[in-house]
Amino acid sequence: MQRYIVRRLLQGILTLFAVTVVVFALGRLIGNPVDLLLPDDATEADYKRIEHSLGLDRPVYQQLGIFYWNAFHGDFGNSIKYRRPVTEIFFERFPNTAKLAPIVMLISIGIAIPLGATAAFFRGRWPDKACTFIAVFGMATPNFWLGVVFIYVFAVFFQVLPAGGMEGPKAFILPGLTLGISHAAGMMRLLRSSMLEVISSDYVRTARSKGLPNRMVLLRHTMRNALIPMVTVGGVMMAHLFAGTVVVETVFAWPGIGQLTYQAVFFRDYPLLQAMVVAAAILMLFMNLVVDILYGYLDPRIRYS
Amino acid sequence: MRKALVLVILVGTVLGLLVACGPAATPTPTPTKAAVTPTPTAAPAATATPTTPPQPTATATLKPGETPKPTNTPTATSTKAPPTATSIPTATPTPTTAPFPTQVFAPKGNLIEAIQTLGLQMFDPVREDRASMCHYQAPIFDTLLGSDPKSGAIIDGIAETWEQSKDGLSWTFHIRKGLTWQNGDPITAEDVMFTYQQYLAPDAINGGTWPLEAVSGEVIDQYTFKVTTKAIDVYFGSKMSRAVGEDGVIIPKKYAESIGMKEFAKKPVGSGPWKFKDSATGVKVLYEAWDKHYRYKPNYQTLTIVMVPEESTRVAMLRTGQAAIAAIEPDSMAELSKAGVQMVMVPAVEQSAYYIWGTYDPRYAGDAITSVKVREALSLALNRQEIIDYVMEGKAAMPLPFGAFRYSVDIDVARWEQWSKEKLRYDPEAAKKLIADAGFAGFKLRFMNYDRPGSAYQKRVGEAQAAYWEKIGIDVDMQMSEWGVFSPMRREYDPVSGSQKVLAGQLTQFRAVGRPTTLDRSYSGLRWDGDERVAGSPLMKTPEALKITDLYSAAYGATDPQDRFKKTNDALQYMADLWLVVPVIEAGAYWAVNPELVGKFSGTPGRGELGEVMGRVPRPDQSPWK
Repeated sequence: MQRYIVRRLLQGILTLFAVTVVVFALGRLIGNPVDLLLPDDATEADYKRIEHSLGLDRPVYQQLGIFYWNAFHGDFGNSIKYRRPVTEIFFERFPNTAKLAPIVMLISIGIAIPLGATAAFFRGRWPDKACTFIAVFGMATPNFWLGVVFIYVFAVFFQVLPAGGMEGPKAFILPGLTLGISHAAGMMRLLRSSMLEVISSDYVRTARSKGLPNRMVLLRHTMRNALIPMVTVGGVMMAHLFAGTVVVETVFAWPGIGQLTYQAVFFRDYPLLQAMVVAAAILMLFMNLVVDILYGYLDPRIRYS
Repeated sequence: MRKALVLVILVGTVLGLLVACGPAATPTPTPTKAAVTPTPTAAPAATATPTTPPQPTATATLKPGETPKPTNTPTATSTKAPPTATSIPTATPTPTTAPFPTQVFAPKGNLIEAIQTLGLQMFDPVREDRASMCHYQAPIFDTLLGSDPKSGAIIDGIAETWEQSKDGLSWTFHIRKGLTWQNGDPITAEDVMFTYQQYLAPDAINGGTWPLEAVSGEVIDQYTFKVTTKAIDVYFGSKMSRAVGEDGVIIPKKYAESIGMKEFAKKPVGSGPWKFKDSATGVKVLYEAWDKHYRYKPNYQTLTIVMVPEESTRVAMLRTGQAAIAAIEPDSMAELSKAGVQMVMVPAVEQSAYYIWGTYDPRYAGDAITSVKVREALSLALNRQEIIDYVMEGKAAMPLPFGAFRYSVDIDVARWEQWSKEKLRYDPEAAKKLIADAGFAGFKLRFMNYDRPGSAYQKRVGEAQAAYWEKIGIDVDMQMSEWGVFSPMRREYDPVSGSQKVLAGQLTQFRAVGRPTTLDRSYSGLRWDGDERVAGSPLMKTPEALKITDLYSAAYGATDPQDRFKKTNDALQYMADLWLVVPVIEAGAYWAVNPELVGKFSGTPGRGELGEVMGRVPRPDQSPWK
């Protein structure tokens, strides 16, 4: 197991290297932040002055080298936009996203498990079709649209929830629901398939033939085993949520990592964007590793070497 | 399958109905027909004065309220209309104090403004003072000169009077006595000197007035500051007002030195009507009212500016009372008016225009756009009124020449109104004839269309332009782009012609922001030694480019108001006749207001943001909308 973890960590470092090179190159292809920093009628001298002060007048390979050297020492540089260390800005915003993520997770699981189980249990009958419709609707509905509809319905029409911001516990409901519904759809479909697979397995048939009640077969024998693939999806989903949900955070004016990433892209804030992507990549790699390790414990058939 | 379909339709219908019913069920008061403010065609003081206003000589020093003696300025050309230059605002050294309604300081409640972005959220206004920062900086920081809320004119500010020397190379500002910073320290000339020195910092991102134009500063006495400029610039003084730029902000020397500029940016102290209270990056800025401002006494106890990037969320927050004022796009105005939301349109904030690049570049010799007739035809083909009515929902105006506005100083507004009517008319037949006469019927036009940050309507205006050009038989090859991609192309030059490597031979969308100093924007676009080099380059100093330099330099250097008036209009005429930088519409800035939370107010013409306005926004009980 230890060798496996070390190998995965080394792979992770290589992945991070590749990700940073791609982000570094792509970021510089989409424009220069100085164009957004300076006024309309700025002169060539203004551009040169600011490019020099930001270190953008150096060759790209030098900029990349400096980035790696500093990142190795835990310094991701100063944000071009905010003129503050990006790590400081990241940790200012991260708690906001982190507060939302567990709520989304709870809502997703709260929707996905009962619906997925119902769909599998009543396979081919109307509850299955209804649940499938809900899942398809959830997957096909864009987040931003659902968010805007929720704002109009619950904030403007019924006036029971705030339209945006994160003041008070009520503010968590709409972004949580919007994200929760869209994530629940995929989880529900996965649980349904997984349960159907388990239901038709020998040990479930044996349990039934022993005369165990349906409820017990479903909860003890079927659900437990069917939930294993959900761990993978849940882990990746958690990483996604912690890395920030750009669209929903923008729609609900939620000052988290997603909104920050959006601003970094829009503003060509290279250091901030690079730090965001590296953070997302690290989260993703870490969660994948955790999920893989958990798998070994959850399913005794899986062994890593 | 059928059941599923029925279910889809039912759910869709229910959601659709809920959304459709939304606007009608708002708690806002009864919708009023007069919800929208007047169109920008009625720009304040645009043509109100039939004769040229009195303009004092450059060295005259006036006290506020004192009226200069009238003098007639001759017309710049032989137009029949009498010379009509607006009396306000003036970028010339003309100290005036506009009358202000007396505000009683009895603040109540919280005023919440929702805007798309808080920019850099930087509270060191010297290191970051661009226009987009004014939203949150202007409530705290005052400027050396002020701007008139009704006309957008330049008026006194921290400096009560100011004058340009006889040789035109220095400016003296007389600080208003008895002013204090928000921490109680007195405001003196030492603060101005300190601010000037801070503007020279290498990491300062600002309009560049101080580092590029000033040579030295001098504290004459406690209340007098003198600055010497590199060359004669009749508009240097004007640049100390937010009516023109953002470089006039003054910061407190004693306080900044005591805590250092880094700490200052975290705990700023200014002399504006609002004291900084707190800031959460990318979320909001909080202020509290300050009662010692010499002009404005806030009507609210606290002010909160919140960042809400999505317009529909801003509007929802406004309608639910979560925000009192929200930034919107012009195409939302009609719908919101019906829902009882009040509108404030700040007129003449910018022009949507187009540039024709590198017409002098040998690579494009003989192309259609090198012909002045074709370029004029491109303008005649545009039905600007239709664009205003349908693309901008009527919330825009016919423009004057590029970079000129109805409040611009030193221009003959009546003459340019007439020019706009004649030269910017919709005449597709004349356009076709001009193109045919030039021998370019059916030519191919490369057009790059994009939205400028803060002007999200521009792409739609560009699409309308393309449609009109196609209508007269031009083969338009429209390429959609984005500002971040387009902008660097302005500074990538061809080694032979010196014009833009990629942009030459193309027509692209562009924009001119509103400011009283007329010639600045067109000069930076057309001069051969500038970045944009539309009329010529350092490698190809075309006769047009040299003429532009001559005419514009002459206008900038004319210290005599009458002489400057003539030269400014001459330069403007020459620029307009080239048809290289062409205005399409004059747009404003658009705000939705919850009338239950905010009283009736108007923005400062030319300034899209409401930074300075926040000091005078009334409560509904003080100034109801009806």
